Amino acid sequence: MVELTATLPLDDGPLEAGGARLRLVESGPITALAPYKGAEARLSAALQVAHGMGFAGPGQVGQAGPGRCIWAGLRMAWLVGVRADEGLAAHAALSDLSDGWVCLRLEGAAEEVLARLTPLDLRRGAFPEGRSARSELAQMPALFVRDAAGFEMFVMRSMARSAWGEIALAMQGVAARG
Amino acid sequence: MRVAGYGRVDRGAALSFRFDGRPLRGFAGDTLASALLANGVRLVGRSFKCHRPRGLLAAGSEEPNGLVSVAGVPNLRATMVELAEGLEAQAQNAWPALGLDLMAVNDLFAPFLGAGFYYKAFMGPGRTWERVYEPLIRRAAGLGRLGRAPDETWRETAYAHCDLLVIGAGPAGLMAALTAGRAGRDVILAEEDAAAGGRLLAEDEEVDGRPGADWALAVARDLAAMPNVRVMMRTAVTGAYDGGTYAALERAAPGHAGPRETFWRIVAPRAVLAAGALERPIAFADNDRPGIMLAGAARAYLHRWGAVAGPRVAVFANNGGAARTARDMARAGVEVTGVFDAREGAHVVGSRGRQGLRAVTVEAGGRRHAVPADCLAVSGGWSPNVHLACHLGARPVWDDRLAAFLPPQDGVPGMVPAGAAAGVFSTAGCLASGVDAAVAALGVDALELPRAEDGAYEIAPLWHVPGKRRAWLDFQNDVTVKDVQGAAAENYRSVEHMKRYTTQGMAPDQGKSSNLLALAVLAEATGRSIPETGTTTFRPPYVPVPVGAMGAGGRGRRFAPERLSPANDAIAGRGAPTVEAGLWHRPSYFPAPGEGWEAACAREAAMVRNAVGVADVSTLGKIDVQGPVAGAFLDFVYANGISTLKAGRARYGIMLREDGHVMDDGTVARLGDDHFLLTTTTAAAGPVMRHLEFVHQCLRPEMDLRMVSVSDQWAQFAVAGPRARAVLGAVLEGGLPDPFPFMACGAVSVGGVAGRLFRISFSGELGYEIAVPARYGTALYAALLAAAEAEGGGPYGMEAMNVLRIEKGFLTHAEIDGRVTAHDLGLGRMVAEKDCIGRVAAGRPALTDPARPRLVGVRTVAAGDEMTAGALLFAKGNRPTAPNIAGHVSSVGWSTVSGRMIGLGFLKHGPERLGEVVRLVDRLRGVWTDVEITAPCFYDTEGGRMRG
Repeated sequence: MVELTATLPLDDGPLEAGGARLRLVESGPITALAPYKGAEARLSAALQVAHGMGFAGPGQVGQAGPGRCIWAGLRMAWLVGVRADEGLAAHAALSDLSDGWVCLRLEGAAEEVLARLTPLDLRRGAFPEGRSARSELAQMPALFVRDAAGFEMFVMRSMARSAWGEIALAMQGVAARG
Repeated sequence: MRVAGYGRVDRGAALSFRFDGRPLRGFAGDTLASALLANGVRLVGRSFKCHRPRGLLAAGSEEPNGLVSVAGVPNLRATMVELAEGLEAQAQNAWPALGLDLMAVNDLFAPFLGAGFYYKAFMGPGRTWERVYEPLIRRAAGLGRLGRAPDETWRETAYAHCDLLVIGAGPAGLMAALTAGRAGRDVILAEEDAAAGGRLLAEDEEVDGRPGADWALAVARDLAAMPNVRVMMRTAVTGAYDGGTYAALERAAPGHAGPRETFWRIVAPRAVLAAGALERPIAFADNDRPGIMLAGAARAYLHRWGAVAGPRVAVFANNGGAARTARDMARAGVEVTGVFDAREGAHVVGSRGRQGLRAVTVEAGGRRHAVPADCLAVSGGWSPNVHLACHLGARPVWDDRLAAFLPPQDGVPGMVPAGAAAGVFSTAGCLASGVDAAVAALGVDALELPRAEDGAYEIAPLWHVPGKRRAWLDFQNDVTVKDVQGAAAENYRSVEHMKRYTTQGMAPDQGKSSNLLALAVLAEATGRSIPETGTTTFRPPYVPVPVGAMGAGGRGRRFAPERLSPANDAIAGRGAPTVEAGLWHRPSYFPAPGEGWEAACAREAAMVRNAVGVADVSTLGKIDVQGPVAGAFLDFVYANGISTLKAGRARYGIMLREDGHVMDDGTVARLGDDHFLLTTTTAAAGPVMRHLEFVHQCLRPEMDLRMVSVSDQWAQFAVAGPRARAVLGAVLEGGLPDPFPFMACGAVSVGGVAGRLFRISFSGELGYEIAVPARYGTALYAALLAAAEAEGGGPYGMEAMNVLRIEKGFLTHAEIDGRVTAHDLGLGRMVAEKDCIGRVAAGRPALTDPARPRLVGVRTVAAGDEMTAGALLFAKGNRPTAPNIAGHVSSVGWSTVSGRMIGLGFLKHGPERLGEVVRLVDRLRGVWTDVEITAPCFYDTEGGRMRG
């Protein structure tokens, strides 16, 4: 009988530099929810019943308990932190992405660091807490979520090490400015 | 020399530096330029073409002469190099030394080196130009030399966003930033200098009852303390682009340990252009002697750095700058030997001195006389810095009163010019203009204005003083009045042609101090007005930007992200060299001790044929397509039918482009009635996803389906070979499903982890692919290898995979190279009689012509012969020339089963020529071989092994 043990996408421990702190976080399950034609309202209602929050429109992030519904692109949101109720499949295409994307968390002087990595306007007026945005992070596709403490960046698992390296270097750049 | 009591340098902080090896001393706050002047160094460089001795002309980034190399970086302007302890600067374009430059012999040949000389002088015969003349000219002329070593400098790129970008921190920029900042708007104030104040640092003026420089410092501090204002010193805004985007280059302060430069992209819906104005010289005979400098620069060196170019100063101007300069110099105790105001008929007509000015010749009232001077302060008037306002193509507007071009209205959407950049030349006017610009840009409340000087600017245009000897316009490119007149005489009357003929306005300074002069001389020579003559095009960057700054982060391994398989560490642990495919780093081969790649590849291929091999195929693109009409949609995007596929089965498919050529191939598995999983080739995953989105969003928006990339979700491994069943049986919970026929797919479990199993083969052997969520990839890979090794198998890499698939005639993008059709690949029958992308285009006669190069196998006639991918094929007896090309080889490999090199290729009428021996020619690698044309399958042509 074969036992499979899980491995992390990168070994790097938490990093602190330039007033920013970076770490890998376990986001919990990620399920892409892509509502079928005209099914967004029904999906939203079913989500409300099953997970206590509606479907996230563009840039929105809903939260209920450990679960979050994060807008992730055209006609798509991710249910993060909880296993998606199977009944949602009646209204939306569900795809398990729990292993496809890796969550990196940046706190502290995150704006200064991310200014070196993404063209997003990170000012609070343009990107307030509780919002999400799709953009690039040093050439890599990423989903950004802002909360009170900083940013989460979901990057593709295969690129996690490059993303970590780029963020770490940007942190050094900020640190060197004193 | 240094003037006591003048300058804002820190005289308590002395710094040692070297210029051309000569040890010198300066102070903190000096630039290299000011420190050189303070040390009595007037000769700072040699000119581009004629190697004339040159001194500092300006005090800012527009400096054309004072180009130096520091730490291997050439063409730095001495005026922008901040002095630091231990700084070592080298003069450029002099050999063997700045003071004794043997190349100055060029100047003797000046009569032959006029504009356009090399177009005329260095003609033929044959290739003499590239072989003889050009290398000689390049060695003799030129600015600094690039280092030969790779540039390891740490640089960054970054983005910034704001409501208002203020370009320049002079009086206008400071007031604009203050007005917007006080109103709570997000402001970025970018200033290329190391200190805020602009001309306030360079003049003896008061603002709000205190020295202008002090006022500027206080305002800059206030701004820096505002949370909504970002003050970016040492940051030159270099370009204006569409959508309110600006480029800016930030230099690090001396001694800074971090990135030396940061290339910013600033997005600002509104901008205030407060970039000031540049003074221009007046051309007269021998006006390039070291010591002759712009009057505004002379005042800047005096007031900001306490430095003058010599004890005796003369002044020559066509505006009020003459009196102001004379007044300031006299107050500082510098002897003023003469003030020559062109408006009163006094002209400087010549200069004397070898490597530095000794005297000027003046003509006034019809008489000439010599006036001793170490420094001549010249002012031909001021030109607003309109550059950025013209970067989107708008032309500046001529103003007769100022004898200068002004920025165009709305040349850059959202940009408001202010201060001297808008033609406002008094301090009070600039302060007011800054406030007005911020109010106009943002609609905020105006601030109360500080008190300041409000003199009028009066100028009588004078561009050049006629004379016989050379009068220099463009110091950096050695262009004289006569050169421009010569261009006009040769009918290069357009300003753009004149620029290219004379090289005026090229190189690092882009003619900042010479453009208007040259234009005026051209206008005069062609009998037109200046506005009729027009300007050349203003293009970014405003100041030189190292390519390394724009491309920061793109060097070496950071050129592109690296995609790593979930099993990467286990693969690396086995010492496999990797090869990049579509950003993924995949193992080439797994060398046994002492084994080279060819031996490893042959061993691995034989292992798969005889026992079993395990290969990482996690990198293949995987796309979930779900929805009630997913099958119909896939029928539309694949050339062959997909909707007829039953759940639990997989099918090979090809996708065409709209033009009928093959885009990609792969398998489609039907996981459920409404759920398909597409695999794409590793490198084409992105383009295929983009294509599918395009088709869905633009061509078939009515179809109800959704798709998402799941490439990174799954770790997937091929298990191939006669012993594959045993390996999977050892790993799968409950053993291998039975029956599980060729092209079956279904859910399996590995140690309690839900996975997927596919019975597909890219090797021609009994083959499976097994997938589990990526986090278990390393563990599954190890388990599969352990089971495989127990069966006499092991891992195989891309090289062996390539040989195995060539033996079977399976395709990769070496064959699907964007130019081939299904017909060319022998897959014409796969294009079903249904509507699908590319079907109609693929049926065009030219794409179905049997004479097209079509897929064949090739094998060497002699077992030991070599064959190379990319080689051309020729019919035997035909000369190997371009018109005779009959085809090419796309992939090759050493086939153990064939005992020789085999390959796939494309040959005209290929399938009709099986058995024919043709000539393979690879001129690049010197390979000439006879090869036999075969069917594109060398092994198990019936497919019994993979179906069995």
